[in-house]
Amino acid sequence: MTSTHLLTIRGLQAHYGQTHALKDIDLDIEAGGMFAILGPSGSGKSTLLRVIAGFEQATEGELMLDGRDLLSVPANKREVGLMFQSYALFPHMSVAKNIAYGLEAERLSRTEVKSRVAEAIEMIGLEHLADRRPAQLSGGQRQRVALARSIVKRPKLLLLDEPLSALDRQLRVGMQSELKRLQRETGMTFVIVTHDQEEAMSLADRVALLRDGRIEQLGTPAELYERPNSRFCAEFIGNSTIVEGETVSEGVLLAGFGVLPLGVPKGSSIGERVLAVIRPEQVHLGAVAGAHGAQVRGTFEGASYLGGAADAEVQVGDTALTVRCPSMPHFEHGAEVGVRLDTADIRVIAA
Amino acid sequence: MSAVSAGRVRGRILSRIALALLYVFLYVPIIVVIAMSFNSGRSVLRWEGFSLDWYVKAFSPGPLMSGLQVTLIVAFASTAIAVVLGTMLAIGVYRYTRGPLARSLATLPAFIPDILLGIGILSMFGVVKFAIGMHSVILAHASFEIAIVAAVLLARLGSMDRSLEEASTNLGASGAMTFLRVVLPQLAPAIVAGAALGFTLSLDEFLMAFFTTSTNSQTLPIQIYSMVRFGVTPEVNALAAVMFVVSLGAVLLAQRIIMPLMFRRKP
Repeated sequence: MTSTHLLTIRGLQAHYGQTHALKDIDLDIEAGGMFAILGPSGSGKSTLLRVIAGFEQATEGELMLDGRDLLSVPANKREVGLMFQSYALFPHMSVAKNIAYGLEAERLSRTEVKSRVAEAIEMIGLEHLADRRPAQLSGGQRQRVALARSIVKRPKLLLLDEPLSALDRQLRVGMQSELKRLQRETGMTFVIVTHDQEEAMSLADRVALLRDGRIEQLGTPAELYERPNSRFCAEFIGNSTIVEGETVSEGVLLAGFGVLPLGVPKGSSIGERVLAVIRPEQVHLGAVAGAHGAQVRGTFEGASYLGGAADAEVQVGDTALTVRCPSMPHFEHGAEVGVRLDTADIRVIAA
Repeated sequence: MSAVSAGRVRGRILSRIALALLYVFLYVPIIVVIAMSFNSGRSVLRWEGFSLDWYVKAFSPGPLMSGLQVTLIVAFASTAIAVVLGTMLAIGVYRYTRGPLARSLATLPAFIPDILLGIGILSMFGVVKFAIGMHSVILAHASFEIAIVAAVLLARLGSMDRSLEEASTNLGASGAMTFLRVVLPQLAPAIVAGAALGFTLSLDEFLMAFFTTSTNSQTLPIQIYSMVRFGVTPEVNALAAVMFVVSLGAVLLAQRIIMPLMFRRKP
């Protein structure tokens, strides 16, 4: 009870069968806003979600919600909502009955259940579908019902398991803003658990990146993208070309690039092995005399159109460098091209 | 048109004939039984004119009717036991066991030869000095119906979305509320299907009833058996025709009511 943190996790350990799924997790999640727990499959994010929801047991550690110890509270009394990836709507109940279920479990009066259900259905804009069964709804509508069913109980924390992954691209954008709107309107704390870095980056204010049951890096989406602390983070979040190098007195010597004036990791001495994380938008095609940053030469290998932009592939030494271009570049395959690097932005991490 | 398409047409006609013959094979015996049940004469081979006399006879008090009564009591009682215990068994196996052994042991009695079960149950009753009669037939039938109900339910449980139960828990429901309002409605069509299957198998089960009953509570199949040992009598035909119509009705009912229920309840 020392801070304004809604959820406090200290030294959390969990074993799932033979695997050590969570190894010493420390995490603070502030009230309000959207937090994302991101990681590849097997990183422990699902176990963490299930431990918070009460479906898996932690073997050690502390889990506090609003100053109350959660680990000793059974799953049905935790005040933690969970929107399942499959939505888990009750197929034999109507939309209204699904939403009322959690309130009936609280034994609220019939009139209160009715008014809160009506309010929730209105919030998701499905008044005309209140009597439909889940099977008669589209994927996006089902998700909104699943959200309403959790939100109507006014939990302190709402966990969302891969909230956008089941939707097609068109719906994702709409649901993304809908989730943000619902979070703002309710003032609840949303915790998104996902393997999809785009989903985490676009929704969350803060992201915890999990790897092998540990938190690899914690920060805002921009911090994780611009200042990855490890190769894993750099590769998992966004596109990048990672180039091996060595620190020298003028900066970093990158294989095939020469010496570049890059910032080196804190406390590193000369002659240390490092990795440069080059994002596609930190490099540009075409040599310009007197431009900022460094310039190198490479061989044009081809480009793929992205709609509004294009990614060119340029071979620099042994490195296939991805270069973001404002429009589709027209070079012959094998043509020699100049590449400019925004050396001030390129991140160098310890190898 | 061409030789190829002529061959294809011939092949299709042959397939249709084969299909028609299969239906004939399936249904001719039943049609003979139904037709002869309306025969006015006593012969089971020669048609002597239309009559409903054998229906009147079949449903007059006598060994057939007492047998039918015993059979219906046995079928209803054993099905009731099997529904409760079979459901508990299936849920227990599904929740608390790993691997195929427990599952196989739960459903195996449905496939064990009846004669083995019949002898086994009879000798077991002998060992514990349990008097045999209608109650022992009920228990014997319940033993394989439990396995049938469990088998149908385990299949349903396997296809059920496990997260439904967790969603119910997450929404604050107690274990009892989750079972009554989420699990049971999901299982209901399978329970009905398992019960219907067990009930119809109990109706014409012969071997186990034969081994485990006493002379004063004989089921319909046993009564029919003792009557036809000296030749099929027309009232047996009449009763068989009624049973056929009843089971046909049950099948249609199942298709019209249970199937849509199961279909609609799919997530």
